Amino acid sequence: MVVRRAAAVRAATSILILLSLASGNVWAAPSEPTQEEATVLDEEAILGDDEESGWSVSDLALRTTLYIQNGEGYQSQAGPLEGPGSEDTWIGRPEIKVGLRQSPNIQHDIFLSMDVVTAASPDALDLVTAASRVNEGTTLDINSSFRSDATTTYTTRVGGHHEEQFASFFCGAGYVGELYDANTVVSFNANLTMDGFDDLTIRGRDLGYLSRGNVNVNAGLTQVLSPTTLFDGSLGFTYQFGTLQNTWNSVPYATGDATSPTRRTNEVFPTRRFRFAARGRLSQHIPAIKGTAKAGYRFYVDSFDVKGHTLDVAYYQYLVEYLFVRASYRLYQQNAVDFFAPIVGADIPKYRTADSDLAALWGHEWGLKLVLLHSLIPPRDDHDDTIDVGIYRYQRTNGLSINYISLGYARKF
Amino acid sequence: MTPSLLRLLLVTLAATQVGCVVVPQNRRRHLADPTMKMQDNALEDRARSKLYNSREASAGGNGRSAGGGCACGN
Repeated sequence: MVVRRAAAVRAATSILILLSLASGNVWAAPSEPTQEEATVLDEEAILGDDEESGWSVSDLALRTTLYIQNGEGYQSQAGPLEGPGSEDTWIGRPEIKVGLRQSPNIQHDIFLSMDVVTAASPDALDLVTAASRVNEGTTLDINSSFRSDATTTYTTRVGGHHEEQFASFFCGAGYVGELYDANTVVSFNANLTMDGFDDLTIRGRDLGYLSRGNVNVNAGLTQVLSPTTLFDGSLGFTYQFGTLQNTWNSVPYATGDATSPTRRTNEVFPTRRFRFAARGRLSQHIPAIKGTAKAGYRFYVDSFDVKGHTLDVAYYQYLVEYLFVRASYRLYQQNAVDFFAPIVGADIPKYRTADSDLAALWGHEWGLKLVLLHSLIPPRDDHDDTIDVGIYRYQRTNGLSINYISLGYARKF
Repeated sequence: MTPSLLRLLLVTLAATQVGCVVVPQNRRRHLADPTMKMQDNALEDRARSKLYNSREASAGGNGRSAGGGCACGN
């Protein structure tokens, strides 16, 4: 009986060993890799060849967005003299991003966007230009990054913006550092922007050339909190100087004259503005239901006495392996700048604006976006490409609403 | 320092203290999910930032300059 049991154990052990050998799962010291395995596991293949150089396209993204805006504001002259004018406009915004890899450590991301606006600011601009009927603005932004070692990256930014009576140049530099096995990522950057534009009055006279600028510094933090939780936050200071108002924006004022009770004058801002904003966001992935929830908050304050609060939440849900939907909501609240008035008195204050964007307001935005991870559709593609479509509604409590639709395509090579 | 700013800093500090636990790279599979990206889409984020910056008095806090760079800005 004992002999029979020992024989059975030996037979079972032999079968297990044979099965293990057949499946390659051997309980023994690993053998030397075959030639094929050595090629697959080659360090160079995994980490990349530091000596490798030459330019290549790493990724490409295309997007187009159509905004349909309805509303009115006192700064617009497209309406009655004493009342708010129309801010109705359609805006088309095609954009492209091209990622260029110069070497394994140097990457350039080139952003080019255009805004085609059917009514930029219906006002006196029409008397001298076509800017308020149809205007096009183009922005070129080149972001470069240089990875100096496994945990340190330096960044630069340079670009410009042009529209009919306005031109801008901006540049910046930054640092990104990874700590604790990249569980913590810190970043710092500084930026300079210089704007130049025609001094157009509300009656269409061009009084020459004006400028304004701003200096900006930011700090950011990304922190892994758990295998499914991420925190990211940033804060930024901006100092603006120069002619900060849009000279073609008008402000209605009561003349006190019965024959012509209301007239319009130009908008005037202080020549300096300090701005501070801080933002934090938590992202939580929920593997059990293949969903992700995000919630963020931003606080803003500036020297024009504006305080702003932004709350944004989003929920992502996979419908199938390669398709997910994002539902988002954004709540925004601000008080007015301290020199805002829709109509000022006959004794016109030194600083004044009737711009509805600077009034006390609440803003709501709802959005729904569908994202197709095209490369995950069987049979899987070698490339990583996505297609998305989103519809949104932005609504302000002081009479402005925007419906917009956005279509995007992106591919990583 | 305003009470609001102080509260925000305290919340940020509290949130980041949880991060003292280092999550190894082989346990970050879920963090690499496309829905967990910091930026859903760079072009979309830029377009939305411009929409808000040109229609609201506040801006910034996203690693970018607040104001300037466009005739539509405040």
